[in-house]
Amino acid sequence: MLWQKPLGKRPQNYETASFWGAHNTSTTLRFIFDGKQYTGHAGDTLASALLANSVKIFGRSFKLHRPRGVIGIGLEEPNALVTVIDNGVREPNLMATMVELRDGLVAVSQNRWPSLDTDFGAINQLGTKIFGAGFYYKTFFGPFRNTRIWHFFEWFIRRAAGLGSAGDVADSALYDRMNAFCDVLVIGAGEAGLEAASNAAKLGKRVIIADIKPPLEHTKLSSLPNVRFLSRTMVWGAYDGDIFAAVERVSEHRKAGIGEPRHRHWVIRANEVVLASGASERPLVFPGNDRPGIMLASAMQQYASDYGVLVGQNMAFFTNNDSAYEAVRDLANAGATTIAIVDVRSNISDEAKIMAAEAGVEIITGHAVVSTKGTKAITSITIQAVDISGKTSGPTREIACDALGISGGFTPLISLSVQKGPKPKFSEELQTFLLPDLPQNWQAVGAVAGEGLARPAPVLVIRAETPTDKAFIDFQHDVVDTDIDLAHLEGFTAVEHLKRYTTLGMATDQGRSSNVAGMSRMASLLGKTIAETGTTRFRAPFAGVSLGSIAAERFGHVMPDRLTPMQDWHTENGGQTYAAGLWHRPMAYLHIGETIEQAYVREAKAVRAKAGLVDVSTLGKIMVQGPDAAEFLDRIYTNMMSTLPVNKARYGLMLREDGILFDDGTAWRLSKTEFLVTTTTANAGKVMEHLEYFLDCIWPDLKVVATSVTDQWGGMAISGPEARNILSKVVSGTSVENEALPHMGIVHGTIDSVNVMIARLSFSGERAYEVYAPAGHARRVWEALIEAGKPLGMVPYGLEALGTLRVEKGHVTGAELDGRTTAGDLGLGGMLSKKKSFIGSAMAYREGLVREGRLQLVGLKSLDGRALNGGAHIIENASVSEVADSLGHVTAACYSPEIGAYVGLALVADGKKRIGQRLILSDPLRSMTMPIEIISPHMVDAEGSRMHG
Amino acid sequence: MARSELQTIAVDSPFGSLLTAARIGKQDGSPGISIDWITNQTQAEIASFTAGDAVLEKANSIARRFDGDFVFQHAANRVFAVARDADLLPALKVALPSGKAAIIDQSHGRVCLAVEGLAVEDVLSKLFAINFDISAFSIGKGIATAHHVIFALIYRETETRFLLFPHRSFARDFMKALIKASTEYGVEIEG
Repeated sequence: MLWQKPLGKRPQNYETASFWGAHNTSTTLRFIFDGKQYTGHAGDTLASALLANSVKIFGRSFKLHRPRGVIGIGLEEPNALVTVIDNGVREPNLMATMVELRDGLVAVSQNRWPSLDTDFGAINQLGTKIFGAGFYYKTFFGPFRNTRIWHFFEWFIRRAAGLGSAGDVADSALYDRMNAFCDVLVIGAGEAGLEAASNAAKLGKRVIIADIKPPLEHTKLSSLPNVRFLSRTMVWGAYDGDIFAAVERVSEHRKAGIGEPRHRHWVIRANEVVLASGASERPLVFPGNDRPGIMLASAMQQYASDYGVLVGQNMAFFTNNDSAYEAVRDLANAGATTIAIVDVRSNISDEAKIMAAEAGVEIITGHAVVSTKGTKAITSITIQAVDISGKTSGPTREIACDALGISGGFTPLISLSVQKGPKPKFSEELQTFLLPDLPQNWQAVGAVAGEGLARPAPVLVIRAETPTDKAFIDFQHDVVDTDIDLAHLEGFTAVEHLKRYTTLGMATDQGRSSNVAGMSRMASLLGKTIAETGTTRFRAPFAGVSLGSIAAERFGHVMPDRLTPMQDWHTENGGQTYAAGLWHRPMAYLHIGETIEQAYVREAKAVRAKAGLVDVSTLGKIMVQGPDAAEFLDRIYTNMMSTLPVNKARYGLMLREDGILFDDGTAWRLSKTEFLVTTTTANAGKVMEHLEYFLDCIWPDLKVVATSVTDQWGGMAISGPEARNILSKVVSGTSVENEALPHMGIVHGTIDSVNVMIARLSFSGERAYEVYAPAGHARRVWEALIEAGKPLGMVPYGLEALGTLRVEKGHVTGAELDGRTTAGDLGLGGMLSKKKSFIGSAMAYREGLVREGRLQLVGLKSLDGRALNGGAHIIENASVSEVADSLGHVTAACYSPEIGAYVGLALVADGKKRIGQRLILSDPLRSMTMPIEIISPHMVDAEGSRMHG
Repeated sequence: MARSELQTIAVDSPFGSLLTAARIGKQDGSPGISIDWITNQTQAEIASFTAGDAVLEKANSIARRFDGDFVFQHAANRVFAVARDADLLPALKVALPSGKAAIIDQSHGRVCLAVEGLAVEDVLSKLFAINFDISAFSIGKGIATAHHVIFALIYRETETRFLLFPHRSFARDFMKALIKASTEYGVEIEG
């Protein structure tokens, strides 16, 4: 024996292998509970350390604010909920039995004011009789239905409800996540779990052992290469495909290393599962069963054996099974004195008698505890004879004690096996719910499978002849036996109704200590067996999980930054970049003192007058290759691509199957069997999916493959009257003169030793060339063009100027390809081939898509010098309230240096017929109206002469 | 791309300042992870027009002629070949004319990150829902997968070394994620 004088105090120089790992007194840890400093030892939990410091009251009950002590030793604990404060961050509702003691730990009790000892909320005990099941609804909804009085009371109720509070200090700790795969997942590292893991490991299987406790020093399993031991890890959810959610407390118990998470969320995919989660003891239900000092017998036993803490000097026990006798014997060996064992059974086993005799304890059979005494800790129990139904009668006897160990049998922790749907089975022999039929790849071992559990008498709820106190079934929510009676009386007899009406089995302990007793009471009221009454469905999480671990680090964003090869050049040269989808693109290159508008107008002017260079790397680029590539593109595009000569490009439209415009772009024929298809930036991914869908699912017979090469090529467009002169200065290996490179032509050459592809295409309406270079060399090519262009007045230009140039030309982008428009709406109806069918051709001419009055693309011009706003409505009357009569809306707007006015593009009903009309722009969001004129969308060089020649 | 170009023109780093030689995160002991950007590679994607035909075997045999290089199949009709020799592409095109297979140069489309160290499986397990245990992901195996929306090819070179091939435009963002995931083990960036 290593210790001698307990009662909350630990002897000197003892060492044990505790629940929380090696426990020894050589390491003293200081901690604070409710502002008072205490000491404990490495391996302690907060509960064991407080018990060792003779702390009796750990919290106050939920509704009645009754003083509560710790009752359990693990996840079954319903009473000792505390808030742990770390660097100002409050983590509420943690079981003190599960908080690993560390130096400097600060914890506070909950649900009390001003202190645990003196709690004003205890006044609720005066209203004990009215705080029955359904109190809030009956009191505040029923009589005051349809009045505001509920809202008056709500403020008070919400302040009074709940337990701990979360606080508002940001949590700076890291939480991360990890995936794991294994042949065998063993949940629980008790004796049975370790044996199962060892057997699986010997067979060469990859094993993960997840256990809620700190690492076990005595197991060699974790050193095996095919075994991963996840200690301090709780598996809390079981999902389809045998995917499990678990949380690992990586550094909660110590200072985290750099980059080390506090908690880690695990997603474990297992081929086989061994459930070894054990069982927890449950209390008996009798009047006054919640008094501090009343504790599960097994918890008393383990606090002594694992932590060297005896919770009383004169103990009593109350049981319906043999396990309490083992606790009495072990505690006697540890130096505790037990005065009596009260057993509801009339006959007990010889083994139990022997154990009691070894401990020198009086056995009182056929009796039950009918009341307890003590203000803030138990001082005595009163017992009375009890029958098999739990009713008591006859003379009473009072026994003085300072601790009461209770045992109502054991509840296997089967939650994970039931979360996916199967129903547990009730065992009359063990008086508990056991595992359902398990899948073939699951097995259960140890206590969770019912192995080695004591057989209790079917007496769980004691009905005192003249009850003097409440008999608590669910300690967490102050649910008492009479609440079950009330639920029965009012028709809430189905187990799921019972749960919600009384809150039985809710909160952090999820009914581990209360469900069976609650069902037992309801079953007896219904005249059914517990098996017939059933139990509620277990759902994830199995126990409390930190929200941080669920919202854990995802290592990057679901919308990551996407950068072109020239990104750094843009930022180094005044480019104001912004997000365009995932891409970062320069809006404009600002000179000192310039506004964005001044910058883009300057840039657009330069393009029309001299030249400009813009980064177009973001355009989607897809290689379409194969003997049937041309045939495939004929089916995809509305216009013919098979007739396109090699080294020529063609503008093309794609429709959705319903005839609506999908995307526009170009197809470059690089060889007889190879096309480079370009798409809009926004639709690059969608077009790729579109092509793959038709290749994989609709025309698998075509010998074609499509591969994204968007990232392979950096793209830049050089536009303006001087574009060719600039290009010719730097390009070698090919001519870029009109004869060699006419509009829509393609050549290959080099710029500054980098091989490039050049296609003569124009989005700006000017003479323009798209230059594609391998992405890793694209900046080199860009810089060569910039240098060559400087003497000729070329500027880099951003997305705003690009937008201005395209608005002036009436070219469409995503704003007009909005999923509702047709080719005809945008003036592109002529591109729908009549000579062939293509995706969308069957639906493109249906009545709704060609009717009169559809929105059509037009240009707009401000008549009063004010800027147009995208999204504003076009109306006929000058009232902002007339938007219901909207003729259409603005899709894009800018200041046009070429027109000398604010202009825009719009989709307007029968727009083509309205060209020349003066209408009103209504912008209700900005309470603004202004006069505008409908003009042709082709505002600059309508005949296209600038880009040719 | 000509062989001479591959050898003479340096490829721009897509990583910005992230690619500076440094030890990040846990400082004591050996770094659990080292990250290195591998340049001067020819990366070719070979796609056959029908799944499972002999084209892929042919591509395999061609690619393996180049010393120290590797090839792996990552989809039913696609293999990815990597070589330090620019002649890989012309060799593939000769062996696999356009009627038989499509050869796509991805040398600039993807970056190659070598991630090595004892913690490499754990680091990658933070980013990908893939079983990286050597029994499931053996040396010489490659796969195509994604981290969020960042598609990546992953190839196992040794027990503790993987090559990752994310698309170039995502390289900087992906590198940040990789460093962050590695920090708790200590990560050494090769400059």
